[in-house]
Amino acid sequence: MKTKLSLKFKARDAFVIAAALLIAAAVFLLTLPKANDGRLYAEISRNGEVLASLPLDADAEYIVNGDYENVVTIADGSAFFSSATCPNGDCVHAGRLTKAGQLAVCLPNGVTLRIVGAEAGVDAIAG
Amino acid sequence: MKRIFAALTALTLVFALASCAENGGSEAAGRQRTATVFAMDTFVTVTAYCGDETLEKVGRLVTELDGRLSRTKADSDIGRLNASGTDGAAVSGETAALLKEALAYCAESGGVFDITVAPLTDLWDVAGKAAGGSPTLPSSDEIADAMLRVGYEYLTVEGSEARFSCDGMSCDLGGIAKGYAADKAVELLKADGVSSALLQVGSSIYVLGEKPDGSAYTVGVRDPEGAASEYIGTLPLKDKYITSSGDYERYFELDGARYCHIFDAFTGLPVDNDLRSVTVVTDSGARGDYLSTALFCLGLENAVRMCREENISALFITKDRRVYTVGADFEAFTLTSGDYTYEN
Repeated sequence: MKTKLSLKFKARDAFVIAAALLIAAAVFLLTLPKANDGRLYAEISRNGEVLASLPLDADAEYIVNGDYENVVTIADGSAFFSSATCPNGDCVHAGRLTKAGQLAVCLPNGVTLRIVGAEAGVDAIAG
Repeated sequence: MKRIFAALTALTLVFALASCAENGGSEAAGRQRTATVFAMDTFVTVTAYCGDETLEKVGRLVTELDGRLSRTKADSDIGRLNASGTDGAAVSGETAALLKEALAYCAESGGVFDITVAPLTDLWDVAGKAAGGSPTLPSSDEIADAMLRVGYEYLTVEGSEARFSCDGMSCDLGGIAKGYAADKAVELLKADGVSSALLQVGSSIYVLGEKPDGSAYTVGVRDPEGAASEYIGTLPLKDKYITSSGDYERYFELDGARYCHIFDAFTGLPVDNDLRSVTVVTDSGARGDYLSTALFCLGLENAVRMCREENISALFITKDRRVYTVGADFEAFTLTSGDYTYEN
């Protein structure tokens, strides 16, 4: 027995399509790279591997262990190495990073702290 | 049936949109990726639109160059040369070519740039003192003794053999090795079809192409009086290398005087003139490294003259916070810091 296929558009169809569009939009937004959401992020890596990506607008503290220990602090819209057990402390002297493109490095522990995000001031700093 | 059709349509939409998001507006070569390698006493970061394999190749290349050119590795070409006294050492063809290039720079600068100042570097040990060692000054006798072992004219390269003609000499290619590594890495990226990348070797940067959206990469010129994350101005660049030399990176202070890690090969003393930093833009990384060091040693007046005579693009920051630029590559420079005066 054949069922007659009705192509008449009903209110329930609109509901299904609207729900599908909502799910699609949600998936799209959730899978967008963080750097594209207009916020600035502190990306912490060790030996090239990204360990964490923390928004600059939420105060936080992140400890990187390895040959030495670095403490990365996020406070007042900036990210910085607040303390380190490495021999020279260059990372701590790099100061507070607030703009996209800024980078601080701890060579002895292989740690990089980089600001990424849509509001790029510069792509990198020479010197 | 129609509900199944609608659901399938919706699912297709979901995956299509999610797929777009994952690619993040990438070009065909792949997503934007960043990789960092720690070598050559610094870090090398590549940000490029390419596959992981290309980034891994860059990492291997830099590590391999470090293994050949490092002065502190006993089994490197340079380590073996420095241990050979006046017997000479066989080095790889590439190292020999780089040594010849470096010696040509030494001659071009009239000895202002010298790859054999290592005895002075060791004597002063600025890096060690800056890192917390107790600051002391070497005696004039010690400096005079070290100076006897400095002089690029006493290093020769024939074929793939390098040889010192005086005992106790040593060579340090650190002054151009990072730029050379950048040159080689860019060659590799280009060979792999990469047309847009930012290659950072320590504080030096090679800008390859432009951003995928067609805009120029913008590089900040570091504020030598501020933290490493501060810059005095910005410069858009394409297919260029930019590097700086100055007295602000490695130095120690004693009795109010600053002693930096760049040496005057004629006096044996750390360079001390009216300049705080020099930034140059060049096509070649190795040449850029050489020029930034040589220009810093010359002081403002002589350095500006050399730039004008030889068509070099450079930016100078003086100790009294004035900024000068010379050359076409700095025409688009914008001073953004209010702490400096732009004299052009």
